[in-house]
Amino acid sequence: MKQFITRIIFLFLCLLTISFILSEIEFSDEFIISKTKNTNFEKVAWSLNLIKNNPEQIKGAVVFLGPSLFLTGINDSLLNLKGIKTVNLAINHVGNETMLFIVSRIKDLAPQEIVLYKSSNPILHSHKLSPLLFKPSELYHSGQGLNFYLVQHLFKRLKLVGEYLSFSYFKTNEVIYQSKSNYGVRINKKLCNDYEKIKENSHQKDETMNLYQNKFKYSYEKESTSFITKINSIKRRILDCLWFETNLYNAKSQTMFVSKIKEYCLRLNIECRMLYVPSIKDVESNYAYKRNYFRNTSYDLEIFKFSTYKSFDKATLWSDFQHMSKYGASVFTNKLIDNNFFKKEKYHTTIKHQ
Amino acid sequence: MLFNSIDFALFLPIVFILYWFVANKNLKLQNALIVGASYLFYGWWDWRFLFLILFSTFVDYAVGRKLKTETKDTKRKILLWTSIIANLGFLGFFKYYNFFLDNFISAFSFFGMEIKVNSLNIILPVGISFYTFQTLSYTIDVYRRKLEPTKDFIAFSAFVSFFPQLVAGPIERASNLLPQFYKKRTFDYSKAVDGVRQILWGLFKKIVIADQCAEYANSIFNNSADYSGSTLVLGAVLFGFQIYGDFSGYSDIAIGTSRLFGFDLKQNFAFPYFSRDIAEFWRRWHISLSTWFRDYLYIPLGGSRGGTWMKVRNTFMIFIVSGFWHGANWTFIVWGALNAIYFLPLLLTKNNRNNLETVAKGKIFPSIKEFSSIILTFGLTVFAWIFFRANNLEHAIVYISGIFSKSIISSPEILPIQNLLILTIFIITEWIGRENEYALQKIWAIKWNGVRWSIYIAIALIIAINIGNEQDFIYFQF
Repeated sequence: MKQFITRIIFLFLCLLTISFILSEIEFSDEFIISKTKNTNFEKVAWSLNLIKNNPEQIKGAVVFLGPSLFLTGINDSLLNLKGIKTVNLAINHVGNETMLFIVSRIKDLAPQEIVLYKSSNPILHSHKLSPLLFKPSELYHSGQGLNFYLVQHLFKRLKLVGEYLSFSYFKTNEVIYQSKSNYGVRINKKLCNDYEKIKENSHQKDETMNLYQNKFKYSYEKESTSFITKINSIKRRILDCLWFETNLYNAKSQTMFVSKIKEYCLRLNIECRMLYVPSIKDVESNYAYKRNYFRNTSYDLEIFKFSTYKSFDKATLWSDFQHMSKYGASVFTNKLIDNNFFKKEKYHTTIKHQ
Repeated sequence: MLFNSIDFALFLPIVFILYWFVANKNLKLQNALIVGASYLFYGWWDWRFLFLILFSTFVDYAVGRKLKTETKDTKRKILLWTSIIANLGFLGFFKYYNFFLDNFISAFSFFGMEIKVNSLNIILPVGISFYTFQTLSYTIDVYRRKLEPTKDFIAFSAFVSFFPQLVAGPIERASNLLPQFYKKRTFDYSKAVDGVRQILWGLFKKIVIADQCAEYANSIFNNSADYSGSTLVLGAVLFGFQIYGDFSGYSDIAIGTSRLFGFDLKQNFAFPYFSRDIAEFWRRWHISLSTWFRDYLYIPLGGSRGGTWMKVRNTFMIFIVSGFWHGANWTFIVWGALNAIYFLPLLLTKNNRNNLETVAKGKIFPSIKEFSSIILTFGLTVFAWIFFRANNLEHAIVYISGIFSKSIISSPEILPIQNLLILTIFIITEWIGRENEYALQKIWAIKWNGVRWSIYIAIALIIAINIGNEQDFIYFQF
């Protein structure tokens, strides 16, 4: 038995070591572009192209980094038209690794400020593109915990290594990226008849999204002396500890990626803030939270949010339950200006509009 | 829980350690652990359907006990039919209710009568066709007095729900598996190593062969109207390898996992694509199901003993029932009937038992005659797979008519060179290992440890590289 287990462990360790060594092969930008162009993650190809060919667009600009909520919610063309130099480099899907990846590429191009996405809930998983953008060692040094996600990252990276070697050898893919003049708000779909129904359902689905009102802390709202509630509370507390304080889930690693971004920004004197972009759940505020304990906020950064999102309670502003429509993005972007998100003395420039 | 999932990768070592380190002193505890682990394994998918397994277990255990004491033939028959009706009743309801309902409605509407009955939104419990047949074999064998009914309820529950083969077989006979639960099991190093090796090969078949072929086969079958005849042929061939890799891969993992726990399951696939005729193919493909039908349906119906008409009837019956077992769709029935048509000439000319030995035994290459027979049999099988894979009969016919068009001589629009290369290496490996239970079995004969370990690591690495496109096992839906 001992011999059997030793050999199985040996086989596993050999596999892990070889996988790790192979996964450390660095991918070229051409490969990353070829893997992301014409996909849901085309923004990566677009961003790499912009960084390579038009780095002056980054210099002195406010750079927005986040998921699809940013991509569909921040209209950088509108901001540029109003004289505020901005670039929206948001990438679909939630995960702070992509923000870190972009920051590592633009940090030396002297952006004025980096605005990061603030999610209402802690991010528990990894970004789908993580294996494409980071070597395992890079990810580990950026704060990734030693957990299942890292092992998964390793094997997914390994699969990409196979593709990369074949790509480098055969050069089968066209790597020229046809730059698009702007890439951001694109959703023209609007919610009409379904709006009320979606709004109602969104509240029933999850009470935790609307946390901006409590500074992203679950707060004591509902008194209960019930034994079951107390048990549930303890259960939630334990689960939360497992999720957020250990590396079992990826919440801690995701927080570390933001800390890394903050570290870069501090070193290079780049301002860094977080911005909360609402979803339909947020248009009705003050609804009762069921949770009855506190948890610390994940990020030690200034978070910009509006005190209420009631003015967004219109079907035409939304394209689905989370994302804003094209019109909604313009309204939200204008509201950012009106609420002094962009401090005039800093960001009003005389750049030529793109 | 899927064999190719992270959940199972965590589940298996935990159960293994508990089984050999905690429960190793006590046989009852080991069996109870297997029951618990099996229910967890099954309940991971949907715990509600555990009640079906429990019900089946209780019914067949009770019927078995009663059959032991009952001497009157009529009462014994009633007991047997109680088990058959209970088991097949559930199977019929979950698997065939909507099929029969839809066909009744269609049949009545054909005669101008409108019937309005709503079909039910029924979820097919995973593995129901497999464990139902396994428990039925127990009751039938007890009824036939071929098997002593068990007193040990835990052992019987473990036999019904044994997790390695619970959801997609092999369908074990009680006479083979049940006695293994009575005997003390001690850890056997060479058996465990053999088990891991077979798991490795099973994972290779599933993740590298089946899942990669599936990508292209699905794309070709789903957009068959857009492709040339040659591409459609390629799609059908790739599906042939997909289903083989998928199902035989599952069987290998199941058998290998069982070995880790000290159990021996019967071989379910014996290199069927190297068969020289259809009869040989059916002796080598899904052996546990084919022999089940042979023993519990074909032989009771008279087998091949009667006149020509009886032989034809029984052959069609067994193949059509086998097709219908796979799913409630006319495509499976046609697939079964087509195989009956392939098989019948061999049976009627008494050539169905010509090829009992492994092809080119002890030789490196087959003879030209053997090779051409293999290719012909493979071609016929792949043709039948089109019905198996098609969404409906119309789709199958359109697909086949697409093949037999002028475009069959054009070069295929899709040519997955990398996949075809791996497929070639796979076929060569299977050919070399065809005289064993599975292709990698005799790898231990390589004396130099370094070479052997390099092969293991290379296979594991190829599996790891291909992880990520996991697809469900095809046979889960049956």
